[in-house]
Amino acid sequence: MMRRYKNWIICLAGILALFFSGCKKQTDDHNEVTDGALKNNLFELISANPDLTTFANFLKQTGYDQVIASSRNYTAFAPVNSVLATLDASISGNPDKLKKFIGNHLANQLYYTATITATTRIKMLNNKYNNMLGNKIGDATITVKDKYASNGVLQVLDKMLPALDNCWEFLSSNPLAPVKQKDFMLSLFQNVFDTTNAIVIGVNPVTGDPIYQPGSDSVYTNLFWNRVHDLRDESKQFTLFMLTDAAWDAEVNKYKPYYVTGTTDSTTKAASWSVVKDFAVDTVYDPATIPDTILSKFSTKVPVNRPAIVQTIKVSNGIVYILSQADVQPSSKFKPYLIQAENYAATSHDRRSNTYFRDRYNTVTGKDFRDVLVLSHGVALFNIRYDITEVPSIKYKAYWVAVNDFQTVTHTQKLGIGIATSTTFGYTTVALNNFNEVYIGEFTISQYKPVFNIYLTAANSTTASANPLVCDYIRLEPSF
Amino acid sequence: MYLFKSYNLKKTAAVFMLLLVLKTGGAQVAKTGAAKVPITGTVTDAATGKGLVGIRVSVENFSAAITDENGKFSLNVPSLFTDVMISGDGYETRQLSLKGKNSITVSLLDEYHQSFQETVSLPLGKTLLRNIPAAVSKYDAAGEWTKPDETVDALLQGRVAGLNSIRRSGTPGVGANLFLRGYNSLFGTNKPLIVIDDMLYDVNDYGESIIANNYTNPLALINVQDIDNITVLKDASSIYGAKGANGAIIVTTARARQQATKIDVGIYTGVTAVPEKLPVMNAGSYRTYLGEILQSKGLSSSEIAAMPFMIDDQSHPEYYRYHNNTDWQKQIMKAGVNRNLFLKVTGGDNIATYALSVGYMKNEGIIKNTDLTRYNTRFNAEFNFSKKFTGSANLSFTYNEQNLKDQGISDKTAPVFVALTKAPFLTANEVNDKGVFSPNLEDADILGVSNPAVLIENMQAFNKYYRFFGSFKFNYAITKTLTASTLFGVVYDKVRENIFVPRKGVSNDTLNNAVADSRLGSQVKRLFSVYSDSRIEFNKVFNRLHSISSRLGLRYHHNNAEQDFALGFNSATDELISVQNGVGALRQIGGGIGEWNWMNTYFNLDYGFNNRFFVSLNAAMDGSSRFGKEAADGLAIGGVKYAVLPSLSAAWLASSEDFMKGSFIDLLKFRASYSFTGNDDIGNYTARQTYISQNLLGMQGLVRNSIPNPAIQWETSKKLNFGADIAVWNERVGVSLDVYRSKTDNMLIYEPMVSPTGIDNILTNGGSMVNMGFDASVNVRVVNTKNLKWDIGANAGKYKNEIKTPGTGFETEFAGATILTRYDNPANLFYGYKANGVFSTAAEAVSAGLRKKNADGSYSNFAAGDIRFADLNGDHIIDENDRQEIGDPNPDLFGGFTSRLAYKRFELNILFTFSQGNDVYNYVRRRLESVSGVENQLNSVVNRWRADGHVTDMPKATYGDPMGNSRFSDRWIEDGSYLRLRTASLQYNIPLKEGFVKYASVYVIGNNLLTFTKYMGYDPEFSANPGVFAQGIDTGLDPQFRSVTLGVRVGL
Repeated sequence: MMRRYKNWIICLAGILALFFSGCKKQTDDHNEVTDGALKNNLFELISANPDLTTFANFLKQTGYDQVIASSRNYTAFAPVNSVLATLDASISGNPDKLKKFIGNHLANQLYYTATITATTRIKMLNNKYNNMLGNKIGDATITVKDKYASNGVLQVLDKMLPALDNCWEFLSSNPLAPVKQKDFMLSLFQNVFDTTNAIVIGVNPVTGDPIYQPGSDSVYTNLFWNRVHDLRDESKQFTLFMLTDAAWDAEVNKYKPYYVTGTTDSTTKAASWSVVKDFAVDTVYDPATIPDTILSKFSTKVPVNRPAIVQTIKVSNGIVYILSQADVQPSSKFKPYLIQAENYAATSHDRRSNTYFRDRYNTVTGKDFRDVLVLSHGVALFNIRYDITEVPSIKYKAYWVAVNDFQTVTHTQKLGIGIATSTTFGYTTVALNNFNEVYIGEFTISQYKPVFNIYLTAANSTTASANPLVCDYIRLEPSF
Repeated sequence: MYLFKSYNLKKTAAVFMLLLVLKTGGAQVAKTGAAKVPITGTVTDAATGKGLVGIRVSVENFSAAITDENGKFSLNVPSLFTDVMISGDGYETRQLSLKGKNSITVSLLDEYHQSFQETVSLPLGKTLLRNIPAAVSKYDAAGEWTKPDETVDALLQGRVAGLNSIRRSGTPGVGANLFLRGYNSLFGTNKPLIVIDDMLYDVNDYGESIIANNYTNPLALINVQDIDNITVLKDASSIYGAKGANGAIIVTTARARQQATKIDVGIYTGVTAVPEKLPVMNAGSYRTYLGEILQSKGLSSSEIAAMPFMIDDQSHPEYYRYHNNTDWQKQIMKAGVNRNLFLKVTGGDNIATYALSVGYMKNEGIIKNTDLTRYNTRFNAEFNFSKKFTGSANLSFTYNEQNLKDQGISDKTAPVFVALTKAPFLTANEVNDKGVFSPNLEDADILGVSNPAVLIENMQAFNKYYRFFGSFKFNYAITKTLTASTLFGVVYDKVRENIFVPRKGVSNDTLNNAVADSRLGSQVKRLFSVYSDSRIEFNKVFNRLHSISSRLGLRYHHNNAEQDFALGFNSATDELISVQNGVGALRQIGGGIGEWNWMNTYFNLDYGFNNRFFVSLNAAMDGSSRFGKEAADGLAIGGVKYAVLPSLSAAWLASSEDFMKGSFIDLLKFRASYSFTGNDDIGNYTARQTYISQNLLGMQGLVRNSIPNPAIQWETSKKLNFGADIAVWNERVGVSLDVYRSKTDNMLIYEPMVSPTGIDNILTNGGSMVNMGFDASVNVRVVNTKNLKWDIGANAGKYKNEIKTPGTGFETEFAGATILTRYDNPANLFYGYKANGVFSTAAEAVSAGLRKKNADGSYSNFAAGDIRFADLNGDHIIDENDRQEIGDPNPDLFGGFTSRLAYKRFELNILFTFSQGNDVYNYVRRRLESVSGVENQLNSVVNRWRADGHVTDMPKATYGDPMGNSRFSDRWIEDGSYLRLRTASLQYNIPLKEGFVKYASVYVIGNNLLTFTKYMGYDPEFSANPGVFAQGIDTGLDPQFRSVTLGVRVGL
């Protein structure tokens, strides 16, 4: 019986088999990787390019081949073989330098020429940065652009991207850096209290403050990094001016009179700091377009005399100019002190209940201001102290604004220079309702003072109407 | 084979009844002394050609004879233009018109053969299919020993022409949404009425589950092994009045066929297979993708490099946590085990017969820790109190317990979705800096994605539900022709649900006033209904020509439903899992109460002329507490509106006419019907003013919920049906064809209200919709020999749905899809953008010059790597005016193929189901190819556009998708056609000597074994909810899966 249907069954089975084999699942087609380029990773893409064999070999030597074969996204900026043939043997022969160099051609994430339409600082795998804009990166041009692989993109370059030193590395290790300025800047290292990495070993039973393991609570850091700019920062770009030794000496000497101290050393040091702190700005000025004057972080005008540029050195995070002359004017360097009277450092007696901080309208300037008034304090020679810092040894003219609108009789008060009872200035009568700045007089500071005290001293009287203190601000104008 | 003669209990029973009838009939003949015309004939076995002995040949109420050993018989008939009935054990029953012949030769097929001569259960009784003027399909379920895990709704898939049964998901017991001949309503139900043992079986959902996108299927409370047969009534369902618009499915459960005690035991155990996984990206491809997404989010390369998953240094403390390659789909799915035990006892005596069954089933889902356990009992009994007074009882109680998980669109708690989108470089368990794994499960990750393993292990979502469904029925034969009967039944149903979502391992949810870490919930749904159906029935045959049967009856249905839920949040620890542990201020309590009544007065008149012409008139007059007092249609009695819904159907059995005497056609029947039916699913209180509670700044109050519409009424469905049934080749080939047109008037629509009312819209009966289509089925006994019998069958349905509501139509949003409902179009068109690939180069994008308007009024240009959307109106701005019809979820054709191959003691049953030409919106793929977030994506996303000149169809990775590349477009519309080997069962009947064990069979049963489809999701079959607008949308419900079950059945 079965035999009769055997042929049928065989036929049916055959048809079914055909049906199954012919059915490739749509899902598989849909999810297949369609573009051959996406089946290779970035390293495979580079290896397959005959123009990039040197680069591929360097990748292998440095171990970066493993890195860019991983599933993070990378952009490789690969110089062609002919360019890499000219690579200095001191780099290609030195594994560390080579790694740094090759790392300067690889970046995390994807950078396509089409999407980089504004200058973008790209962090490379060696933690240095290159500027990219369209098909330009650093000084190189992208000749074959936007070749994608499964985990990244390849940009082929016509030039290398040398792994330059950064500003600080240049300054500290490059022989081109002028010695005297360099020595001074390297002398600015010191230990600074910093609990970021501190190890707490106990708690002070009295104050409750943590006790840190000695040595862990401070960092050895450079004053310049903290006060001016951290020239090691690769993510920013700086212009650093360095003076040739002669120019450095001349400039320091020029400022020594303003930093009269007890010893020559400290005078030199103070003057040197005063000079150097204006020599780094966080903007890159190209040699071709550098303006004749640059405003420093401290608003000092730094003149750039182009003929005086001895050398220009490109560094990874900016540019260094070596100048044979820098004539920074003291009038630009030394700024007037404007002491807001209400922001005092101390008072001679606790008279908080007699102290008023008043919001007033200045009828002369048309501006609002806040001043301090101490009234009915009952203390003869009551005084308020102000601290000013890094005061150079120059002559100042003193002014104040003091508005006596709280009583109908005038009173007197005086500025104490250095001490409250200083006789540099006598008592000045504070006129009624005078909103004008009043010139007090001139005084000279003979020695550079890291910290200097100015006092506002009341009349030597206990009478309430005679001994008030009132002031909006005190202005000390350098006088050359 | 002899041992299995009782296999088809129904046929045996029919024969029994006939015998009884014949006995009394014979007596009548003598009395009336009508003319006697002798005829002779031979009855042979169609398989062997040999004469059959012991076959009964009879004329109803007139004479009977039994064939001799050669199959020959002689019989007196009233005339040569009458019908004779031929039946015998193990053989089909046949009614044959003599057409003037005095000698007939009949070769009978076996009882498994599907023909038009079978008896079917209709709303008001049993009739031979050949005599029914309505469009009816029958499914004989008595053999459902091969489908122990099915539910009634899914069981009918591919079996009934015109019934589109779409399984909801792969969750055990979740069943299928049923659509009989398309849609009849947009906002009302489209479910056919389910009637079990003459009583309405409520399948409504009284409040959404608190387990995300879970559906508690009342039909899961029915064990298919209890079912005897199912009739699907497609038209002329006016007898159910305002509940008949979607047709009716009439289920008859098992009852005793013999008085001898019979015990059937079935034991099954099976395994399920994990579906083929979706190819999501592996850890490497995903990390590359993630890097790109984070870059496009605006993170700097240092920030990205500092992410723990980007640090490839093995000494990094989190290295092992972020450097894995986890197959999350494997973490949440596993092959499950199915168990099923079933015991049925039938028997009785001449006073009472009974059928008692108990069953236990436990089906594990393919999602770990999901299952369905069912305990079911049923007691059916029939009593003969006296000759005239009989009764029956149908009582069932079923208790189900389900362990579930959230599914579908539930981004934080649905294991399937979370597993697809979870970063593959993470792991389920905590791992220390040495790479040592802990048994503790990980918390939600830094990308804000839950841990799928926690959802599996620590999240709880379970329900317990039960239903008592019972009725008593009494019949009293007042005279020979007049019978009175009444049925009274009660339903008590309760669903309890509980959820607990732990805080650890699940990403937080945001409430309107707090962040929810742990989530707790409890819900109870309750239904109590009382049902009664009383009628007077008249049956008489006049002059052997005119048969009349008529019924007048009244149904009453009182329902009381209640839903109460409580949701809590932020319990103190993950050990406190019940809802009262939530923070008091965040507690949400709510629910609903529904109470409604239905009264249905019905009248039926069936008239038959000489077994040739059949006319059936059915009419109902319905009153319902839901109808508005000012309804436009209907009959007003005492200020209450009643729906009057008549239907008329007629059939002509042309093959019984003399002119067909010499025809090769064995049976030819033409049918026509026109019916009015109604749909009362218009809301319990739409006609009334309702209020809802509202919380304002901690104060609870009531606000107006709606504007009453006292004119609200039933939807009226007018159905016109023409059909033909043809049988040839000794009825070995049977073809049934139907064409229909149904029009729904007074269809519910939401009409927008003017804003000062404070109510967005109001339900009115302003809509109209038309369905046209055809159903066809064919059954062929291809091979019919002694040892080999092969039946094949096919059925198919097609409908065309058209909205006839005038106006511009409206749009509906579902799962991010826009569904358009507009005049002269199908009710649920996908309406979106057309994508023409991806701009490969910047030059291409610039030359196209397309742009889109942003929320702030500015414009953004589509650039290289963005999708090129079709600009319909040519204004170069891609906006809503550029949308068009992009897909139609309605199939061109759906149905099934069946095959039954019996060889000696082996039997192979196969069912293929298919759906052809339906479009599917793949929401899951939209999420997995949106290329816009940190979620893992399909592997196809590796092909995303990378650089100028890259030719691909996957757009670039952009965080947040500002250009809307993943908007609802034809990128997500797929062909949902499929052909599936739905079930295949191989059965072997063990030869046994007569003894304690009477018979035994073993089964190997396969479900969903093969699916041929181009669909790219897990599976092309799903139905997120019963609504018209949710069809064809793959929201990521748990997928269908394969299973193989071994079973044994023993008869004692």
